[in-house]
Amino acid sequence: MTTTHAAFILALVGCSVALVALVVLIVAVRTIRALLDRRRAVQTSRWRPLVIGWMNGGAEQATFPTRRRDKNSVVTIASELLPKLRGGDRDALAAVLAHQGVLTSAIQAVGSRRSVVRLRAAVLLDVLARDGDVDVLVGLLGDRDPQVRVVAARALGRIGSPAAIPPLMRGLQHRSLPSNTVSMAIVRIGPQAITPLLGWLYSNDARCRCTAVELLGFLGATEAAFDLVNALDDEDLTVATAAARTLGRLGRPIAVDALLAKLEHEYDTDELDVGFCIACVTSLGQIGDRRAIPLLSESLARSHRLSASAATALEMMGPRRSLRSQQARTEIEQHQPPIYVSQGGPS
Amino acid sequence: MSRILVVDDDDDICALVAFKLESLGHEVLIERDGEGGLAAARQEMPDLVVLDWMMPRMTGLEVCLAVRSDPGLERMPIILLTAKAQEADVQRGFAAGADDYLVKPFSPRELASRVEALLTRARR
Repeated sequence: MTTTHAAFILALVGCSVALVALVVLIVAVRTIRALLDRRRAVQTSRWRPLVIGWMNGGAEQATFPTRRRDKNSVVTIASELLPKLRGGDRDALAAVLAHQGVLTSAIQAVGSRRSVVRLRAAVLLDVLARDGDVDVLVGLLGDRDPQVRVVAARALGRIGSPAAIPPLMRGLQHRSLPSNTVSMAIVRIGPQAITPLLGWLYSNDARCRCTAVELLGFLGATEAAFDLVNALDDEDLTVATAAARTLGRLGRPIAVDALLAKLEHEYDTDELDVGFCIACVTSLGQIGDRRAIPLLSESLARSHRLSASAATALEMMGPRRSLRSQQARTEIEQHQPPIYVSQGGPS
Repeated sequence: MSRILVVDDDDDICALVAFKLESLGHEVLIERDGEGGLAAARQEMPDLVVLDWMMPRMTGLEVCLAVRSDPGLERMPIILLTAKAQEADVQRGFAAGADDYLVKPFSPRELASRVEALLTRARR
């Protein structure tokens, strides 16, 4: 047998062994997972009636398991039930957990070295959403486990305290929290978030400025119009585009002059940014100020996307403009050269 | 005592509703999907149905429409218990024939009051 043959056989045997090991590993993982699921289902069906029964009694009379494993199951079941409930029954469940010291344990557990323990604590604080836990949750925004940070951010949104906005935005700035998590949390906080967000329009970080702009639009912050007009001049075009979009959403006529000026400036440059121009055009249509008609009409002759947006904007401004814009839209859709209509009829 | 059919694919919700209604002295039947729910409504003729919207095999809305088009069941009170909270969803729910509409997360106490009110009205 040559050396090449021996190497080939050795490689073949090695591959077969690796394949068998992989199959065994997959089977083992699946079996363990199925066993764990079954154990969890047994525990749930055993303890769920007890947890649901807490809804009818006082916190002092509620029975609570003593074994650690059972206690964990009961807390998990309660954590799953609480988000599905509201009103007196929800309060009754929360009162039992507080009475049994579960909340105190959760607050202590946020300092645990095991991320699974910290996550369980964060989930519990999230579903309970108590005002008093804001500081603990803000601390968890700096956790080394990203899942814990996301749950903490969600909980802060659920609690609705404006004090959570600076740490949430800092999480965005330091890239420790995803943008959508921060946005969702702040939208849940509601109009109370508007004043703290105004300061973030002047942050050094473009991501924070952009998020602040978009959130102010979602929150309907009409008082932010002046600051948003300033944001149209932002060095970062993403922020400027978001500001243009938001001004349209807010529908403030105060923005018309600035939007027109920015659009004219873009048309005068050699390399206009279509996305920014579309945002300006759309906003002008949403605001519906007649001063915008000449420039919007001029925009009909621009690129396909821009002219389509201008046609929509003109349509939004009322029936007198719609004839012109509908004609333009038909031309755009059919990709045909414009048909000019003289006073005497079609030429 | 009345017989109430609860149709929901979420075990927690079924357990919560069953606990609350049983503690008021009602008999509760549970089905996990729309098809089973419709079959149970035809077979068991419950006094009231608590129905989820988003379920496998047949949605709550389809069940609602099927119940309303069945001459034997058309007067059966139905409460939609769903996470769909938009105004248009509520309109669609009532248009499909629901007698009441409750949004998740829900208060079991409120649900119990609504069930009692509908049952009282149905008995008149």
